Amino acid sequence: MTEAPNGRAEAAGMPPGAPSGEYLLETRGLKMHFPIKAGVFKRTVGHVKAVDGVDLQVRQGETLGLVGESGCGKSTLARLILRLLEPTDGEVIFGGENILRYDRKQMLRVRRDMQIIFQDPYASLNPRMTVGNIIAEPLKTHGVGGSGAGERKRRVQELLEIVGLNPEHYNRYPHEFSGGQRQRIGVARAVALNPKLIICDEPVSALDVSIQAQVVNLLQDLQKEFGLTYVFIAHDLSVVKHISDRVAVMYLGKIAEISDRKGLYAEPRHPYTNALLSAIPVPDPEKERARRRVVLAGDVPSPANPPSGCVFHTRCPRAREYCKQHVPPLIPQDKDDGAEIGGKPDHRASCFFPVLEGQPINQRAEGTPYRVSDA
Amino acid sequence: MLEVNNLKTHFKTQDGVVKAVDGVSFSLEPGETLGIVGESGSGKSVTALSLMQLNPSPPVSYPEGEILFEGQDLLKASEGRMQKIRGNDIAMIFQDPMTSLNPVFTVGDQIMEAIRIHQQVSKGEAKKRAIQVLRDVGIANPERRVDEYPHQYSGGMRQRAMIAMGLSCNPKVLIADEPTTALDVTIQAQILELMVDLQEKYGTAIVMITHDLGVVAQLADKVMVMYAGRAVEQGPTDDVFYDPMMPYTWSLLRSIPRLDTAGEVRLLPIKGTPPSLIFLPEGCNFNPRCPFVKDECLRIDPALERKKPGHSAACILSPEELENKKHRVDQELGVEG
Repeated sequence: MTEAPNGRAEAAGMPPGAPSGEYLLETRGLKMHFPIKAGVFKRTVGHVKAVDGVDLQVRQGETLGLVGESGCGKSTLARLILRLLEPTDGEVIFGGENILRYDRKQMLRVRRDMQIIFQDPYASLNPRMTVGNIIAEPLKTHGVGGSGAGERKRRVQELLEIVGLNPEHYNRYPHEFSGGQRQRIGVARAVALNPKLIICDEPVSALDVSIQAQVVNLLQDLQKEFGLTYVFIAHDLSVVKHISDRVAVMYLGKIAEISDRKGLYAEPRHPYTNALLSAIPVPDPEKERARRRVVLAGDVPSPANPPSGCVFHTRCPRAREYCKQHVPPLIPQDKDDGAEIGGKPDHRASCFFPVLEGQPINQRAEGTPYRVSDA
Repeated sequence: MLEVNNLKTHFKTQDGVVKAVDGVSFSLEPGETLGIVGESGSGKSVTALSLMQLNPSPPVSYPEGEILFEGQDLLKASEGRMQKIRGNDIAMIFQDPMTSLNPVFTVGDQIMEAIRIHQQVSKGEAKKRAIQVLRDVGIANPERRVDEYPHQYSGGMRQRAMIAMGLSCNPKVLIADEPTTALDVTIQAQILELMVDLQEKYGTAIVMITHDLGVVAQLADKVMVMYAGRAVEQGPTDDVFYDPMMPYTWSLLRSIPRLDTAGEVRLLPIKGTPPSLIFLPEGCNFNPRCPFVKDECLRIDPALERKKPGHSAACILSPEELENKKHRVDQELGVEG
């Protein structure tokens, strides 16, 4: 039963990033409202709208980057996709089926195909288990990778080698490894079952700068080798740009903008995306001196009490009265002459007054709301 | 104004002497910004704490070196003298505003404390000044906010409050130890912009400690790169970024994805991990991880030497040798230029 590590790649038969008609993963109107309880009787007095109506599509073999500031709901969304949290509303469609309707047994089966790599390599590995047992656990749970201990050990050692660790270190404990090596153990555990989808929840944020590249390159190599699909969550837009085929920007539980990488970074339409991109310093002194920043005023509002209309209007330099009263849908964006941005038709932004080419970002928007009628 | 010569900060531990800072020199003029870059454990924070004389003693010792502030050696100054300098002439902003503000005092109280220690002013006057500095750092409604506790502030506001406290006595030198690392990028942009504005207004000299090369490129006039307790490269920001003379600096620049080129080139990982400060490698400290290592590197421990006017690096490779090797790897990675 020991599957060759590259069995999946052949089965998938698709180069990474190649678009296919079918989505591996889709979310429809996904919502997670956590109740706020207060008083003696713990009555619900409000809701934290951590994720508030998210529609996402992830193609087989691609990497979807998910960026946003702390508290925007990106980690909650990850947990909803894996059904580690039961959403308040919406659907999670994986491989064509709504997994929210699955019972325990069906869920266990589908979990073989969806794995997660956590942010903190110190907290996500049990300090009392050997590395061998940590990586073997998913194999045991799902009864794969050989029945006997010997066979399973061989599989674990093979996995250690795949992620660039010494297979002889099978019997060591997590504390004997450095941060970067621990994250490799987390990666080995995630790929152990040959999953189709791996959710990477800030996998390099806790690592030193010189180590980050090791893990990023490893994830890229594994994707190529095994035809993996990633949802890559990070707050660092540079890392996301490096690894993603498409990128979604989240703000207060909603998607602000989603596009293929080229379109989003070259022609950001949502004012929030513009501000995020301009806030990131580039390690190039001359470029830095030439840059004009869009500095947003204030902080992210509380998701327990989000602003009316467009949730970004309180910080948006372009916001008008209209934005306070109407909720913008995700509107398809294209160039004025009808050509598609970045050559792909799926650049969308939830803004009534998107930043079109050559427009100043720091001024109140003018004109009529963008394409609202045909959205 | 501030001159550090061959500073050594060592800690005695059960396992041996940790040479956290081992021979670091730099100088700082009014209105100038020095960026100190390095990974965790490279000694950048200990350097900052040494300037403030805030390293815990006994384990700390300063076997060599001097820290000259306006001609006076701070390593020899009495504790009483240091208390007069700390906060008044040299102030420090810490990384984590949650743990460095006292939760049981109002933000106003904590700013007023700094003011009243250093200046003979009444409580009412101190409060007026506290409100003024809070307004300077961009906190809305400072009259009300001054009486609030740290938990009532958001993360960005707490960091603003820390900066307000640091600036309350108009220091000549401001040491900022990873002031924006815990913050979101849009808030980071606010805080960095604020620091630049205040520097222009008051002519404060800033020591900016960070691991983010982008922040250094944005703010610093000159850079010091630290590795394993030593300065391995020092020079004007442009020189260090465009023509790094130490393979470590160069590797760092190639190992991070940059917003302007990300996705087009493959990252160059630096193999291995930073060394233990107790058991340093033979020869050059960086040799186990260096992409350009030669046999001599295993024996010779290079000193920081001048490669160009104002630009020094600790590497035995000649500039031509280095240039060739950099070029070859760049071609493999797909980097242009």
